This record gives sequence, C-alpha cells and structure tokens, in this order.
Amino acid sequence: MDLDDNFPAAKRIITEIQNIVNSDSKLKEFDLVIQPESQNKSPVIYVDHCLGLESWCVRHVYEYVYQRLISIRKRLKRQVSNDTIPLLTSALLINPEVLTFWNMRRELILDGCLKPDDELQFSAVVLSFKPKCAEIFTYRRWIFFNILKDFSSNHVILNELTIGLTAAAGYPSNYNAWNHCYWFIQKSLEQENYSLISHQWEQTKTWCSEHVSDHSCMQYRQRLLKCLVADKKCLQHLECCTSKSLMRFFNSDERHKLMRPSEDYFDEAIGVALDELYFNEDLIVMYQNHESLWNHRRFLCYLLLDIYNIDCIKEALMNNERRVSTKLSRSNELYVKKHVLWLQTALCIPIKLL
Amino acid sequence: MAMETLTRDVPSSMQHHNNSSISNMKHSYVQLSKTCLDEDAQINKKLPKELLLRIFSYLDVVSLCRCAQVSRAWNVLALDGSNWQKIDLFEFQTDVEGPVIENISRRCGGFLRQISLRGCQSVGDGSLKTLAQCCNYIEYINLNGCKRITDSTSQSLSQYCKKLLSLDIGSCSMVTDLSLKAISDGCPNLTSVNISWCDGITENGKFFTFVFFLFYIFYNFEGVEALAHGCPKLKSFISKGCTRMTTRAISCLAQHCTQLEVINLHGCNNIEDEAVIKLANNCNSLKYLCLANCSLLTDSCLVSLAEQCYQLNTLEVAGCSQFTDIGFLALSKTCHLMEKMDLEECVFITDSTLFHLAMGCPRLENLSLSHCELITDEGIRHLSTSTCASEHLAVLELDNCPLITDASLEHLINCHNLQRIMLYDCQLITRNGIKRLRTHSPNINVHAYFAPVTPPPSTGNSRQHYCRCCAIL
Repeated sequence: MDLDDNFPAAKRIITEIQNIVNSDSKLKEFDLVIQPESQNKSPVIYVDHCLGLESWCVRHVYEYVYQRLISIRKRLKRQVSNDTIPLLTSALLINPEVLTFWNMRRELILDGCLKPDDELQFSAVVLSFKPKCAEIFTYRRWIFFNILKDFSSNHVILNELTIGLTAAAGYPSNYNAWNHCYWFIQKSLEQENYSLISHQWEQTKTWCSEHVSDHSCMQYRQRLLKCLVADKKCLQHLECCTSKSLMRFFNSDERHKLMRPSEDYFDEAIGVALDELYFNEDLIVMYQNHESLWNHRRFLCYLLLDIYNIDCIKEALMNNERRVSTKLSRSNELYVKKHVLWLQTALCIPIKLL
Repeated sequence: MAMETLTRDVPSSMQHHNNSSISNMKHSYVQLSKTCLDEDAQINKKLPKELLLRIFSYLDVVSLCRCAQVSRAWNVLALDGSNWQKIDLFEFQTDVEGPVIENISRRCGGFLRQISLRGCQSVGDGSLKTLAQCCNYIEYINLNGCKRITDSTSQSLSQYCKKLLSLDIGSCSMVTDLSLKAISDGCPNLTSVNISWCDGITENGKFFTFVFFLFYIFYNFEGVEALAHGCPKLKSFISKGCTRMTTRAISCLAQHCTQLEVINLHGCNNIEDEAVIKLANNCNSLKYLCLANCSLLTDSCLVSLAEQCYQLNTLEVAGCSQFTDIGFLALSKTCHLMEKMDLEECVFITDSTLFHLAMGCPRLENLSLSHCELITDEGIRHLSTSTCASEHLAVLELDNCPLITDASLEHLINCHNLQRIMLYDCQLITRNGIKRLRTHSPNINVHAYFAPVTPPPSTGNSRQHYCRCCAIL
C-alpha cells in the first residue's frame, strides 16, 4: 500500500497502456522515449500504431507492477484474476526477460482469460522492443505447440518466419530469432510441407549478403542446407540452377566419373552445396576479413565430403580451395592460413600455399 | 482439509477412518481416544449441546469446518444446519464443484437464508436446482460470475424459493429474458436485482469480448417489463452495461416499482429523457442514481429529478455530455442531501455549476469534474469557500481540466477534510503548487503524473574505500 501513496499515477499509466494494447490490433512497436523530466501529462505516447513510454516513469511503474505481481505470485491461493493482466502487460513491455511473468500469462491463457491470438500480437509488440529476448520466442512457440497446435497452414508459419526475420534484423547475430525460425521449419517438415524450406533458403541468401558478419544467420543456412541435402523432397521446390556450379567445380572427365554411379539426387545435393560455396567465395572476395564467412566455408567443405566421400570430390575440392586460397592470400592472410591448416588437419586435404 | 469436510457426507465421516489401512491395534486406539474425547472431554461435560451450538453459530465457514474435524460429536454439532444460515464462499474458496453445493444444501436445508457463490465458475444448473429444492427459505442469493448457469437456475429459484429478496446474476452470460420472467412469476417479494456485466451474448448468439467495460447483455424490455409487473417491491435495480435496455422498459419499471431507491443504468446508452422523467415522477424515494454514459439524456431529466427526488444523495452522470449548468442549477436548489456527484465529461458545465453546488449541496463529499474543460480557478474558489468544502469534501477529481492552475490548490487549502485530489494532465499545475498544498495538509493524496521524489541513495550501502583500520591510520 505504501507504493500507492508514493506514485499513484502508476495505476493510471498501466491501465492506459492496457487499453491501447486491447484496442489496437495493429499495434506494431513499443519503445522507451528519453524524457528525463516529468511534466504533468501522461507519459504514454501513442502515435501511428506505435506505443512509447517516457523514460522518467519507467522505474516507478516497474517498481509498482513488480511488487504487486510478486506478491500475487507468492500467495498460496493463486486466484486467477483479470486484474493482473494490465500489471503483466506493463511489466513485460518494460522487462520481457522475467520468465515468471510469462508463466503467469500462460496460466491466464489456460484459464481462458487471455486469447492466444491476442497474445501472439502482444508478444510481437514486445519483440519489437527487445528483439533478442529468448523468453518471448519460447512463449510464442509454447502458444503454437500447446494451444493452437496447427502447423499445416503456410500462412501462419510464413508470418512467424517474417517475425523471426524482423527480430533478426533488429539485433545482430540474433541466435534466438533464427532458432525460432528453424523450429518452425522443422515443424513444417514434420507436416511434410517442403516448400517453405526452399523459400527460406532463397530468402536468407540475400539477407546473408547484406549481413556478412551475422554468423547466426549463416548457421541457420547451414541447418537448412543439412535438411536440403538429407532429403530429396526438400530439393523439389528449389528453383536455382545448380548445373553451372557443377560444371565449374568438376572438370569434364571427373564429371563423367561422378555421373556414372550416382543418381540425379546426389548431383542436386552437391549442386546446392557447391552453389553456396561459390556464393560464399563471392562474399569473401567482396567483404574482406569476416570470420563468420570463413567459418561458413569450413562447414561447406566439411559438408561436401560428408555427403559423398569419394576421391574425385576430394580432389576437386582441393583444387578449388587451392585456387581460392591463392587468390585471397594477400587480402585475408590470417583467415586463409587458418583455413588451409584446418583443411590439412581435419579433412586431410594437403594444400600448399604458394 | 476444510473443503473435504464440506464435501463429505455426514455418515461417511466415520467410515472414512475405518476404510483407511490402519492396523487393528491402532484402530482400537483411535476408537478409544474417540470415546475419550467425545464423552469425557471437559468441554463437552461442562457445556450442554445447546450452548455449544449457540457458540458455533457465531463462527465463520472456515472455523466451522475446523470444529467439525475435532470429534464425532462436534462434527454433528458444527455441521448442524442452524449454523449455516449465511454462507459466503467468495472469501473462502470459489473453486468448488457441484457436489459441494449439493452437500451444503442438504445440510443447511430450510435454515439457509443467505448464500453467496460469487465467482464460483464451475457451479452449474443441476447443483443450483438441488439448492433451490432443499433450501426454500433463501432470501439472498449471489450468483455473480457463475458463468455456467442458464435460465433453468432462475426457473428453479422461482419455483422453490418464494421468499427471495435479493438476486444477483451479474456476469452470467448465458441467462436471458426468460430468467427475469421466471423470477417475476415466482418471487413477488424481490427487492433487489442485479443483472449487470453479462458479457458475451448478442441476439445472434455470437460471442464477443469487448474492450474493458463494454459488455453486452441479452435483456430487452420484455424481461424487465415482466420483472416490473411481478416484483412491485423492488428497491434496487442494477443493470450496468445492458446496452439493449430501452426507454420503454425503464418507464414500465418506474410505473410499477415506486419504491425504487437504487438504480444503476451505467452504459445503457439507448435510454432517453422520458425514462428518467418517469423514474423521477414515480420513484420519489430515489437515493442512488447512476446514468453514466447514457449520452442521449438532456437537462430536462435533471430538472425533473430536481422537482421530485429530494432524497437523492448519489448521482453519477459521467459521459452525459449534453447536461449543462441549467440542469445542475435546478438540482442544487432542491437536492440538498447530495453526497457524491460524478460529472466526468459533462463538458458544457462551467464555474456557475460549481457556484450553485457550493451553495446548495452542503454535504458533498465526493466530486468528480474530470474532463470538464471549462472549469477555472474561479469555480474552485467558490467551491472551497462553501460549507461542504470545509467540512465534508474528501475526494475531488480535476484531471484533464486544462484551465486549473496552482491558484486552485491555494484555495483548496481550506478544505480540511480533503483526502484525495486528482490532477492528471492539468498542464498549468506545477510541482511547487503541489508541494505548497502538501506542506499545509500533509495527509492529502495528490494524484499527478509527476515522478515521486525519490529518497537520496543511502550512503550506508556504498562500499567503503578503506577498511576501518586504514581509515583510522
């Protein structure tokens, strides 16, 4: 009760925030607005579907909601109550990293006080403020997995992938966001929906070329690539032409050797991996000294041998890597050295730098 | 534990012990100690059963259930129906299933007078039918928020509980007109009814969840009309958020239920002047009237209230934006008993309303003028010089009155009883003004958007640079 006297406006502020969240289904962003001095006007700013909170009140509002929520949580008899919703909304907007508060919202969903669709919308708004917060992603996945239980519609998953991508753009190397995307790709694969993975493969290619230092994005692509080469069905929807990379990688007599025992599928799988290898080379040439690009290259070399470990591929890879290393040895000296050493020790591919 | 006592049937309480896997020796020991307790315990010797029963009659539900677990004799006494005349499960446990209610009703029988099952969401029609059948003398029943009940509950209530005086079925989204009809047929003594906040159902049966307080209800005038005919002794009629309520229904209510004292029509936004005029003409003993958000109403209903209802002490007309000074001038001339007035968003009122209220309503305790944008310091000055201000005024809401300045706060220093004042969004109010008011009346609770003054960080916690001996050195 002490707190009430200290800052009675807090209640009014959180009610105002809750009203905005309830009434605007197109709300897209939340952020703090730097305003160290308080005037006698509402610190809640609402313009053009964006919600802002002036920074002077954040501390007091959070103190208010936190104390209340914790005391509610500590009660033995956990009464489900609609009064906690505005408290939770403000608390999570300000600090979404408190798992307890998300759990309280989970309970409210289970009791039917909150609607899962509204919750998806709300958590997306919170995500706009803290794009790297793992709790938000976990909460969204929980809603999909436990409440909605529907992974068949492309529309829903595409929307979720877009949200993941937006969050990835909001914070560099946002592993949580990419992980979230991959979880949905996995779910769609379980539903035998193979079109999304190729869609993502192509979409993230441009994204990668715009964010060359983002190793999380590369890692996401690595996971996609693993799925692509592991299952022929995933390759069906891929539109890119892989034969050029094949031609470029193998010289003519090796190509025959490769064609004879294998089916088309192996060609395609190798083709996709090779495509990525050449794409990676382009990026390394364009942007010098980015470790994430070299790490990605390591993975690609490893994967190539892993798919189809025969001598001709090993030889072709050796020739290719020698060519690249020689070409780049001046500009990316440190990384080239590391790369060559790794090829020698891990893959037993002897390359000598000139 | 207490809940178990309620759910268990009377004779099975001993069997329960027998069934449990206690060894024979232990069993006989239990029996021995039981007889010891029952017959030889000092308290049972000294006090006759009648006195024990009398003592139990003062206990609440939780204590009764505890007593019921003391011994067999006490079990019988504590669970005697005469102790269970008033039951309120809201503070105790709302998460109860049907069988609990059925056991309660069998135990209490005709003794039960008052029962509140507020917020017991899992209670359904079946158990309430048992309740109605067993307990025919219920006078007060509160089913607020029992979302699973339907019209059939009201029908069994009207069939068996003829003595019903007060019924609360607010927020029961499945009940319809039929309930009111049934009640009006069977319960002629009804004095108080609450049918507000029933969310969910519109005429097409589609479910909606509305933003905060905008709830819909499936009553239309026929149900209320039937109620008006059947229950002429009605004193309190509460129907918040019933947007389908019509002028005709209220007029009918006014004609037949002339003893009405409390009327709440919050958010019944189809109500027109005629309904309120009828109420004013017929129900002269009206004390509490809430017409919030009935935006079609005009001054003429205030005038007729002023002409007939002198007893009025609470008037809530937030959002009735067509009211002007003329209406409140009339009101303040006759309704001298006014204690609470909520004039939020009556945007046309000016200082003159405040002037007349200050003259005419000396008992005013609670005044809300939020969003009354024409109010100035002058009006507050009139208010603060009146008798109501110096003795009674406890709560004053002035938020979003843009013309109010620090001068108003200076005037309000005279209000010795003031406990709370709202000043949100008053741009001309300064921090210093509030500080001055606080120095004069330190107990006053000022609501504004200013950040609270934080106590300076205590120095004790900060790490000392030197340990003690070094500091001495």
